[in-house]
Amino acid sequence: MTEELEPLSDVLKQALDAERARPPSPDDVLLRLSSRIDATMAAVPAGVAASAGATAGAAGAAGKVGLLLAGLVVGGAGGAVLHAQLAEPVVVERRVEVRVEVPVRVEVPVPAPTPEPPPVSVREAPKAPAVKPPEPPRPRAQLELERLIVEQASSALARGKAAEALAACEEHLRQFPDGQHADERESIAIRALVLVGKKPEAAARAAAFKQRYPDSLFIDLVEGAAQ
Amino acid sequence: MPSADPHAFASAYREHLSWVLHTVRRLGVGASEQEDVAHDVFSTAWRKLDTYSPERPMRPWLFGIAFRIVSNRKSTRSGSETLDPELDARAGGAARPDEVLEGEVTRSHVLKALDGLPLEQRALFVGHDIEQTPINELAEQLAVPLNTAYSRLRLARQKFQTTFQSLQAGAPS
Repeated sequence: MTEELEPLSDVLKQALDAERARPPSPDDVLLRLSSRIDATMAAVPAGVAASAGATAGAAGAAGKVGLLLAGLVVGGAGGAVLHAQLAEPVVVERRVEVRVEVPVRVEVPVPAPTPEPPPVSVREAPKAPAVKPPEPPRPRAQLELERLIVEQASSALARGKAAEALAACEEHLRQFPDGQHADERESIAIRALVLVGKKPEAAARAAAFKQRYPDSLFIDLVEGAAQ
Repeated sequence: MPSADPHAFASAYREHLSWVLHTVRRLGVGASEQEDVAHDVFSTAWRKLDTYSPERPMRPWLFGIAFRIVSNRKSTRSGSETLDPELDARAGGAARPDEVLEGEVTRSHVLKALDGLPLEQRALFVGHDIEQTPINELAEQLAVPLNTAYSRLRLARQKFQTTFQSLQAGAPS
């Protein structure tokens, strides 16, 4: 069925023309926003929902991370606080299925001993090269999950929502106590503690921060907050 | 459906930044949250890039994403919270001739009148009457039947016009 709409009155047309002609947002706002978006795009692959349907091999890992996410979303105060942002469709659930990369333990092949006559002596036995297997890589989904939680904390702090930032930091601490972004988490938590008036706790945590992360990029922020 | 090129998106999204900020504002997001919501719109778009067909215009697709995000947010503001005098003043620049002021008053009334609409009607009005998106495409992006879209738009127009005219009548000449 085709429906027709009445034409808008001239007054409304002019008003909506004026609204369409709204000046662009200030440059500093656009710059700040594009920086945040660029960071997100750098951390998350595009269109991850496209290849949904993890392989059987990845299913276990995906399920594990899915549980972590479920805990993040619904478990505890931190999860509850984060829910509003993480519950946004597709952002969390579907990407986990795809970006999980099952860590593969790299085994350096050692040449199988060739059957030989009984060894003459132990000292003469051929030695395999002493190559230490590299550390297995952390699953990418874990890194992105970690980054996501820190982003939630940072975003909440930027909006002045210190309690929300602290909840996200607690969630990060619970899941990634020594994660790649542990120093950033601590810097956010310290600033959030100051905001909620817990200065002694912030000072204690700042002291521990300086001892543990003396070369952190966030040290100036921490020192400034703790003063 | 041909898939979108992530590199093309990453280099092209900036041209829609200001538009998305305006759009979320028109959908009722308060000044303090507009940047966060706009960020969510682009983050979601990036993650759902496989659902975008590069043969179609990007803005209706972004509009659908923005609508869903705003719908999901419990903290959507209404009333004067929508307005951001500081942003308006900065965007207007230092010189403020009468016509600029008049335009800002009109835009302020438009936003206030939009605040009187439920989000479902508001989205139709913003998408169709302000963004000038064809209603069939808008209905598709908002996932509503076409007839429902027409009905909501008609209701939105009636309410908007009543509120807007009363605001204009009370505005200083």
